[in-house]
Amino acid sequence: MNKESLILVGAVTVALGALIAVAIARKPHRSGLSTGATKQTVLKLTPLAAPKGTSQKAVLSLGHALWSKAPQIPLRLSRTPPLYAGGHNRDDGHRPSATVRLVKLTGGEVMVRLSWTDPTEDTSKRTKRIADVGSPKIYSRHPRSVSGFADAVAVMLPRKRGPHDSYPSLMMGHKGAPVDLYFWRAGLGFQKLSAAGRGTTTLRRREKLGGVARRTSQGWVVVLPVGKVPARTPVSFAIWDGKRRHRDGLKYFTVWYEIW
Amino acid sequence: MSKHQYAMVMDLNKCLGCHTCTLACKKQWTDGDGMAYMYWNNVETRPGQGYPRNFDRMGGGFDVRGNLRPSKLPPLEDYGEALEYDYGQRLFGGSKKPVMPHVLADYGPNFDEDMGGDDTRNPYHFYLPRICNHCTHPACLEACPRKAIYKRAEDGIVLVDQERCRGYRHCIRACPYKKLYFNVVESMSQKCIFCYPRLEKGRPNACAAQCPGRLRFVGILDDQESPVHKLVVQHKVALGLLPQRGTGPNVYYVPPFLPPKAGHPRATVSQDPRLPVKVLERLFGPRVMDVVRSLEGELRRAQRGSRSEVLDLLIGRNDSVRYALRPDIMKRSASGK
Repeated sequence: MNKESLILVGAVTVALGALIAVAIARKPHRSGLSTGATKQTVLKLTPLAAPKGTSQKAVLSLGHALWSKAPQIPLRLSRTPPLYAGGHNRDDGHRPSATVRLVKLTGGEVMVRLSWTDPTEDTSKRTKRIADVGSPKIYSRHPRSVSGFADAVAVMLPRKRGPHDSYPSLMMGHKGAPVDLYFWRAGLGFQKLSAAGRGTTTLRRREKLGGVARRTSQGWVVVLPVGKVPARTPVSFAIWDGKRRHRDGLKYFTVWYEIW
Repeated sequence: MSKHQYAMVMDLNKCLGCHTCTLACKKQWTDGDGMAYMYWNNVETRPGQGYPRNFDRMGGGFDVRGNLRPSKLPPLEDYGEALEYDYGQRLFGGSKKPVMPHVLADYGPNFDEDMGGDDTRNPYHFYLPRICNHCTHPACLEACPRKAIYKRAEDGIVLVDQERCRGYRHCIRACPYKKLYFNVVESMSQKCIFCYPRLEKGRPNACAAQCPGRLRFVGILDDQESPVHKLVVQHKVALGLLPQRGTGPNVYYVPPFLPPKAGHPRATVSQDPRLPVKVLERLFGPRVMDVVRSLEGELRRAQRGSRSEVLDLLIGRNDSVRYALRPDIMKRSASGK
């Protein structure tokens, strides 16, 4: 191979590499599960600073004026790859339209407001039956379905808050890099969990998580308090669609963002 | 692999279909919220669709290569809703309407009772009581991504850790017997616990203790003195359900054998079976007719006046014949010694 050919091959290789890099940076990370300790392009989320004296309780109201002032940032969602045998967990290509807004209280606590489109309301809440005979009260214990799944959302932050040279694994953190999870499931309510790797998610029963969720004509709006968050703390989000039998690792997820 | 394995043998020739076992279990374990449709023990009639409907044709378990083959997740319609009756209004509220279930009962546990099979000259049916099989290779355990299901090392009992379960229901899809149930109120899966708290106190399982037909035998499979060892390992007259699913069930059945068809009084059961062989083979595997022939041989021996240890065992005159419980191994292992 002569000198000109070598230069040409080199140039093509560099160009292809650049194109692939740009494509990865622009497109949703379909293979984002492999994202472990490798840090990617920083995706910034800037919270709105709440006026001094604003209480967490006040911001938990979805109608609070701060929410309309906070920047609304669209989330780039990906679907996890099929994890289990059986066809129902294949990616059908659908992605909900999701946005996030953040408000930071003067004490450093951050409130996360997520809204996303979901035309069907899937909840594990026990529904009151319309009785054929007698009082409807006696039927209120009946489950809606034993094979249905509920819509849900989660916010994940590293246990160690603040700037990170390398992110924890997107798969619920990893050994030595635990994560905290702020979770809401329709019908079940709010839960705080922790994990250090896939399959290790543990409910922190003693830590009650206050939050607020509302069903809208478009989908869901949920506000979660995620505690004190120093600048440049990584954060990621996940959304489950009950209609698509999402649960466990079957979900929409984002790569790591950073709260600035 | 567990050090020991608790097992149960049920003699299907003695089952009356009275459901006392079901009620004993229901009263003891599953009368809480979200458990109305749960029958950790159920009795179904064969031929019939079972509980949940067609569970035995649904799939689950492992293929020949050992890969999980999960089925669909049965909807509530395949179980049938637990019926509520408005006794309060009828008896005390002045209602003149008759007592009726709140929905049309179009399916439920043992919905096929008394339907039977074949023509009127040669009818057949038998009852099939079922609990969790506490499998040697539990597909539910294999399927759970959270490792919320575990098999106890000391006695082989399979349990769901209620602290770890998040209600994903991969276990229900994986179980070929559909013996895990989702509790909507608790948002987690629940299943038969083989009455381990009773066994630890030296008492037999509630379903076995209450059985008027005395058809259940309980013991450690590797304990040579236990009735389950004698029936399963020594005499080989009891078989697991759906063995082709590869989970190694530890509940065994002495297969039913009815008299030969009408008009063939001298024929043996295996020569002219009233119960179609294919029905038995589908449920208990290809060895079932060997077992039927063996049982018939034991019956002939007894009819000739000889002693049959198998029949003596299967009669199960008292608790000491039917149960060989070992609370000692459970406590020893549980305390880590």
